[in-house]
Amino acid sequence: MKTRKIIEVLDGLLGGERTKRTRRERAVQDLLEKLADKEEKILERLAGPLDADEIAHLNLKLQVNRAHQDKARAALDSWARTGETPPPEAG
Amino acid sequence: MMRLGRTSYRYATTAAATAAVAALAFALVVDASFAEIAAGVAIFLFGMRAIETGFAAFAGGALETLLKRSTRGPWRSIVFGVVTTSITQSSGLVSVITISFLSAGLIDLAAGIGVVFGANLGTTSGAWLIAAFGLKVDIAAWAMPMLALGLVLTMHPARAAKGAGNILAGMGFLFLAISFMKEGFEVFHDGIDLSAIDTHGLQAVLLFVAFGALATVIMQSSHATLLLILTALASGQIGAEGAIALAIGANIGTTVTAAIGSLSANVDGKRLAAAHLFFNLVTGGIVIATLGPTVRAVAWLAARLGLGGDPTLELALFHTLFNGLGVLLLTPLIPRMVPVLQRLLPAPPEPGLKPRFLTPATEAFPETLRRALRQELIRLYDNAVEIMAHGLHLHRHVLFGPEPLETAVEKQTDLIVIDLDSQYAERVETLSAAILGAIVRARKTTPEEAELLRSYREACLGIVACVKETKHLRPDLTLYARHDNADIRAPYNALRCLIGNALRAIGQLRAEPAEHRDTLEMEALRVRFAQADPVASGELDTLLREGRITPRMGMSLMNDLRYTRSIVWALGDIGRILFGEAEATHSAAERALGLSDADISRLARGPQ
Repeated sequence: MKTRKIIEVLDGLLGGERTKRTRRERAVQDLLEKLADKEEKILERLAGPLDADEIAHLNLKLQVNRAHQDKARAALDSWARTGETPPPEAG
Repeated sequence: MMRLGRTSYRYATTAAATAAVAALAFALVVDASFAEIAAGVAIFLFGMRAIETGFAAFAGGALETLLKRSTRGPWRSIVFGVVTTSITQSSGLVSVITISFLSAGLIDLAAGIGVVFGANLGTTSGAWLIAAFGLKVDIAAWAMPMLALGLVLTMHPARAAKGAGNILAGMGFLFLAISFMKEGFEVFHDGIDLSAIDTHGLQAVLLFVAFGALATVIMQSSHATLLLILTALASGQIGAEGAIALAIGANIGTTVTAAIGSLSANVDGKRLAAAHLFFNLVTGGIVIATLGPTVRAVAWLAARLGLGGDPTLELALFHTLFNGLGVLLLTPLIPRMVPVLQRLLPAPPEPGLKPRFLTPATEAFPETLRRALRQELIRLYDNAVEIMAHGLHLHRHVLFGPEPLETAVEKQTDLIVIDLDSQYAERVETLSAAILGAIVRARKTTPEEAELLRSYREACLGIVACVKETKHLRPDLTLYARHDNADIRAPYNALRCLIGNALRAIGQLRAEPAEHRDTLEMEALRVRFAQADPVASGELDTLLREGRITPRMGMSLMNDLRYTRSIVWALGDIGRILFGEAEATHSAAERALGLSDADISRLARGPQ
């Protein structure tokens, strides 16, 4: 852990790509975890008593949430495979 | 307490305004000559506005070039003033036109002062004409053809013709106004008997000056006063000294015409009116202080020029010398007068919402600048939300209330009256310009900083665009939101709900603790728009084919869908930028996961 941090700091001082990539990878990973938490909450709410409009509204949120999770996983997979940084404006 | 105080103040001002209007209405009814004078003032100010509008149409064109060339340097401006006043025979009109040039930004203050000084000299040609030929041009006779022709020209599609029409109609109104005022004050004119006044001593001279000024103010024409003076002089009612004092007064009186003109002008117009008054007061003061030698000098020069013996021509000569002296003395002072006038009559603060957090001190450091920009953007957004909500005929307690908007919109029966143009000018324009200015001035030290500032600019422009697009939407929304035809009412209420739900979603996002905010969820609104889009679903085609809505309704709806889409998309970005991740890498990651149009269409269609 320490070695990784030292490499990151050195890379950062040299303005390196590696640090940027690692930070963004971690940011996407954090986002993925947040999205998974959100999905749990939506599913919990869907299990409760709701009217048709609320169900439709939450289902839409769920679909969008899952689409974002798919994108996050795809970005991380592609990155792991090629070693390239996903473009920031993708999508 | 504060609320009560403001309310009382509002009631007091409303009551005062009502009382003033009632008093004016009473005076208009009971006094016919007052009604004529009041109509004259109103037509005068209306004419001023028409002339300003007309000249503004030529801004950037040939007129600007001509004016710029004719007013380059003080002496050229003076010549321009002399020539135009000699042609129009009205220094008041030239002053008024010069004020409108200034208001339209066609000339600067120094050039305007030069023109007005020149107009003072040019107006003396009238004294020569009256003295030599007894000629009096009845400008009111010109008003009607000018108005008729002007109005016809304003209907022409070409911008230049429209501008010319406004100028012509505006001048027609000015002529008509002067005629109205003259007629209203005819009672004063008939009651004037100059021989009744004693002409000896400084007190009498000052009385004559005041009399000349008053007569010119009342009749709105120094030519009319000069005619009176020349008649009195020729009939021996007054002597040379009295006539000169009256002529000085007439000159001072003309400044009131310019002062009335400057009422509806910008601050430069008021400065010009002040310069005009200064010219006449200084020149008049010098001549009054040296009245005896001046009279003798004029008599001596008149004799040399072969005008001796005719007191009216001597007065015309004096009038020219008097104004010529003023021009010679004061023209070199114009460059110094400009800063003095700017200090004495400072520009009023720009109307509109001012920045509260952006100051030179906060702009000095990147961290404080970022914080201040975000706070100002949130203020801008809050103001925009209120304008948009009311523009969509949604009360804020409904917009941010617990009831689903779809139900609330159907229940709401009242329409909200709001002037979106003035709201935009007061609450969005100035603040957004200040924010953009600060962003442009900011030093971008790192790529992350540059990226953040770019996103703030995007949010600022997005907020401005949302308000403007709401303005475009409003006429059709107002027409169709309460329409009897449910087939057009329903899609329009759906548009209101789409935008309302986007605003509501941002409100909910703000209310969440920062660590739980999910700005990506905002993209559900874009999917919802795609689901509701009656063009994409083919519903609009069906409505048109079955004749349930007219083609015109269909066309309006298609246009308004575009505005709505643009607003919903912009609100998604605004929510993300203002209330989402502040940290650059996380923010970039959020953007990277954004849904493409293809993703949105797929989600809108639902699971296959």
